[in-house]
Amino acid sequence: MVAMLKLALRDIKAGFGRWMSIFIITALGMGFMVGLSECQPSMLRSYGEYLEKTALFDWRAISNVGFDENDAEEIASVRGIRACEGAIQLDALCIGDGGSDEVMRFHSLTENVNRVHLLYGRMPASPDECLADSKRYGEADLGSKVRISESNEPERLDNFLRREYTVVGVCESPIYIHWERGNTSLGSGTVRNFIFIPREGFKLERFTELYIKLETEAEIYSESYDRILRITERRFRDYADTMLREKFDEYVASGGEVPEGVDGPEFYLMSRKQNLGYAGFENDTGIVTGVAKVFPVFFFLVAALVAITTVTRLVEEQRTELGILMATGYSGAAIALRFLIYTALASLGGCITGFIAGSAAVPWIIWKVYSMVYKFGELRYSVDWTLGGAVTAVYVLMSCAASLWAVRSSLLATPAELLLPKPPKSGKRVALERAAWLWNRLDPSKRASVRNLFLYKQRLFMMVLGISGCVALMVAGGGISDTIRGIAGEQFEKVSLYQYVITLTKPVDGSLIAELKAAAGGGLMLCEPVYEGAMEIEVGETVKSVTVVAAEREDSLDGLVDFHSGSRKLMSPKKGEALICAKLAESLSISIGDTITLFDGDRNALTVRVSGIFDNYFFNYIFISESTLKDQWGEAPEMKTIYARETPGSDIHAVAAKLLDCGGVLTVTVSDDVRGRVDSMLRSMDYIVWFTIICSAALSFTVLYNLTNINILERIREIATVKVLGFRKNETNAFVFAENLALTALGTLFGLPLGTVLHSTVIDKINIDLIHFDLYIAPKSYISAVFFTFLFVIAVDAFMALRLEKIHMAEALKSKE
Amino acid sequence: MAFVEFRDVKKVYDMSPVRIEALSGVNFVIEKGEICVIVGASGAGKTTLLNILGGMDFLTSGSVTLDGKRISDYDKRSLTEYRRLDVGFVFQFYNLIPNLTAVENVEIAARLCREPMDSHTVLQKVGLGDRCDNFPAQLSGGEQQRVAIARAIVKRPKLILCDEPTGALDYNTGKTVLQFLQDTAKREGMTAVIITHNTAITAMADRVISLRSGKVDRVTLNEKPARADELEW
Ligand SMILES: Nc1ncnc2c1ncn2[C@@H]1O[C@H](COP(=O)(O)OP(=O)(O)OP(=O)(O)O)[C@@H](O)[C@H]1O
Ligand SMILES: [Mg+2]
Repeated sequence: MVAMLKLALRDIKAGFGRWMSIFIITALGMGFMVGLSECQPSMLRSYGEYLEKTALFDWRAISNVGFDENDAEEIASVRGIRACEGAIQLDALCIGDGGSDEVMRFHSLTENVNRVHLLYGRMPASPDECLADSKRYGEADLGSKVRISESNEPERLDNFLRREYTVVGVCESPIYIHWERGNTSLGSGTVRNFIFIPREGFKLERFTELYIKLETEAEIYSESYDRILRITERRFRDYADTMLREKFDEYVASGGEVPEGVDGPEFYLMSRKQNLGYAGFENDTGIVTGVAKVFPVFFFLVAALVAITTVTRLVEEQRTELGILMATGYSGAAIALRFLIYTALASLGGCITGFIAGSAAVPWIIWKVYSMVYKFGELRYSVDWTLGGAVTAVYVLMSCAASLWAVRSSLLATPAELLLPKPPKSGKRVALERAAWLWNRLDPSKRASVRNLFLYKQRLFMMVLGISGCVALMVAGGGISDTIRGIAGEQFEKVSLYQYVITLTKPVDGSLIAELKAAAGGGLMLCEPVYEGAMEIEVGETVKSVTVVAAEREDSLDGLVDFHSGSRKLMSPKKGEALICAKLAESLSISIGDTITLFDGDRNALTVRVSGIFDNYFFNYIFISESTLKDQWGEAPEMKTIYARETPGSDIHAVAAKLLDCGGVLTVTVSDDVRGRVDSMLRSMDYIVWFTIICSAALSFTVLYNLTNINILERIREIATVKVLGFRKNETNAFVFAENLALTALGTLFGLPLGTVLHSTVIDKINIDLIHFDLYIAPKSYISAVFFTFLFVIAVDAFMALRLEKIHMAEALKSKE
Repeated sequence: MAFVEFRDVKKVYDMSPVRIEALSGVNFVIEKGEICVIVGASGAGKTTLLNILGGMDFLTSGSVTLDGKRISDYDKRSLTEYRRLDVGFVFQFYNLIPNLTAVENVEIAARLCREPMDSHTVLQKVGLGDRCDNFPAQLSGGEQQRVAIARAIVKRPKLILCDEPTGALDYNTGKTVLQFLQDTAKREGMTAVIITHNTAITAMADRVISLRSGKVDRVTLNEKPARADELEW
């Protein structure tokens, strides 16, 4: 045992590079796999803990008449509510760097909800101090001033205590983890940065909004959290409605001043799911996990094969010594132990290194990549010990099995057989030789290459596997990018044709549409009110939240939403019918003709027959007809949403700002902005794809290097001989590397279809709840996969050509070892 | 001027801290069409000398000329061309390419020069006309060495160099192979240099050069060289 350990250590020392190749490939595979699969858990953990620490709101209530201290206290006493705190949010034009105006969103500092995360400086101590947005401000900006522009309307200016606020700190806020800061009715229409000031910094008497924290320990993004939101919504809304109306009446009765255009209190609730950051974070981070689920298989195979070839070569080199050992009476098992120790040390070492490095580096890299879009707090690692342990066990067992496989024939041989040098592999004819017209045209050195391909079967198999794996990974990587890239275009150019989704404070009435059109000044081509409601669909055990949309007439949505399935147009839903999106149909296995039941927050049921499944990529939508609602619920639904399409050539954001300024408009969502967000997310996706490609390239590089290296070692006499015969440099290279190129071509041939399959598997595994993917791989991805693979091979060959150059011709004359 | 001329050839292997002088001032000539046998004890520098003459290694000082050209001045590239066109090698362990048949092994060398002989004909000449399509592993050692000789002469080289061509062969086979070498060289008018440990072989040579510790000890000219198959050892 000790003797074998010593021998194994000597083997490692003698061919350290070779041993390292097993080590490295195991480390790569392990690190890549564990690292990637720890990414999403780590990021969700970081986010969860961040939200815990900063107490992000669960509900946000806003009202056209505002709130006071008492409202907050009363709501806080409702069952299931932990805290309720009043706050002020007000946009203002501020003087920007170049003197031009830009919109800042001012918030009052709150204590129990939405606590800011201070990065530099201190909290404001007086009403004229503020905290500034870390997206733009840094430590150097402490002491600078945020100046409110005089070009704001006077009423708005009156709401601020000062014209200047001194930056005493720089912070992050849980409301703003996404790099976008939101839209506004002022200026350009987009908010540049947020600013937090003390409550006393505003001159407003009443709060503009209430932030509510629920009594729940439910984890973020869990189904139980969604349930709690749904349960609390109605209870809370009813309570607030009655309470606020009473208070408002009291207020008016006691001679309170009623703001212009207000004829009664309106109250709106928004959950954190409407927060840009919270809404996108889970889906956007899910992509990495999908990728992590597929690649390990490839890594396992390659690691096993590298172990086999390496040990095979090792056994061949130690042939005589093995014979002596056997002759001295060591058992086969003892000798096998030597090689088991050799590979076990490599794979165990690789696994541990890979686990540590992968767990530390990969989530960190991905975190940095995502921080271009989502930035908050610090990364909290979520280390998956179970996965690490399981993978280690599999790797070690597998590499040991591989080394046993490699020594098996030597162990079966008698010591005498081992003591004789191994006869060189005998040449073999190949099937191609029957094609005489082609064969006779081949140069003898080409013929040798062709025969070599089939003579060294293990190498043939490994090369093809390695290369096809490399091609497949790149096709899949590129394909993932193509597929994700494609959906934004599909959604916003072919399905959702509307540019604006306008939500209203009260149901639409006859004049509003005309008002909006007038405000937009010809900027709106189409403008249709719809009912949009969150409902649950239940199929078996699964419950899913969906957005149900109902339009007035059958042709209401023409030009706003295009219902199609592939190239086939679908009819708008009639009474009792529903069009459901492809993702829902797929995940709940619903088909056309099925009857489905939908429930609203009060568990009112709605039963509809599926009349079509339409292509849709973002969010889960069900479209029904207004008449269905009237029919089953006995009343017309409240149409509080408007879909509108812009006139070509109009200034989209300017129109949005004007719309937002109209009475009765609560929010305006611009499709171009959503698309921009998706695109910016995609840009960071590209880094992940590149990361994958580089990792697989490193892997195939190691394989290629390992194989070519062994090939050269095995054929060193042959190579020296042709050099003596007078082969020129390029001829010698061709003699050795033609096989690599042929095997690469063969590997590519297998790799392209393999990549297509791999791509669909990965996309299938990504399976993000709210996104539907259409499989698509651009020709460019196929081409570049082939191109890069050949580039890798040529690079390895070029490097190995230096090795050939160094082979001394005198080797050919030396006696056989 | 002689066909081959070594003048003051020195070869030093600098393996610091030691310097091994494998050749320390070698002078000799070989005339065109001669069969020259080089003998000497192990470590005398025979292989080193042959490597230099064959363009496989550089010398440290001195000069080597072949057919009026100073090959000792050649760079790596010209040496490749020189080996390709002017030199045929026969190795102790044949060094055939295992994955090529006999005729293909000859053919691979034939393709390298401008006016080669026909590969099949050459194999016939060495008595292997019916074994053309066999792989090396299917041939005996002697047969393999004859293929190797065929591979060396197919290029019509100016010079055939053999390092212990019979070293791995039994007595009779060794003699047959030498006979082939002798016949071919005489018939084609090629100059052949044969290295051997076996002093009995010197009888078949026109010229015998004895090396001792990197120096030419003695040069003997045979007026009447014996036929190789009449040698006894
Ligand atoms: N590559 C080398 N590096 C260092 N020393 C060398 C090298 N090749 C040969 N030598 C030394 O040069 C001397 C001459 O060697 P060479 O191979 O020419 O002898 P040889 O006459 O062919 O012997 P043998 O009959 O055993 O083949 C020897 O002392 C040898 O150790
Ligand atoms: Mg020698």
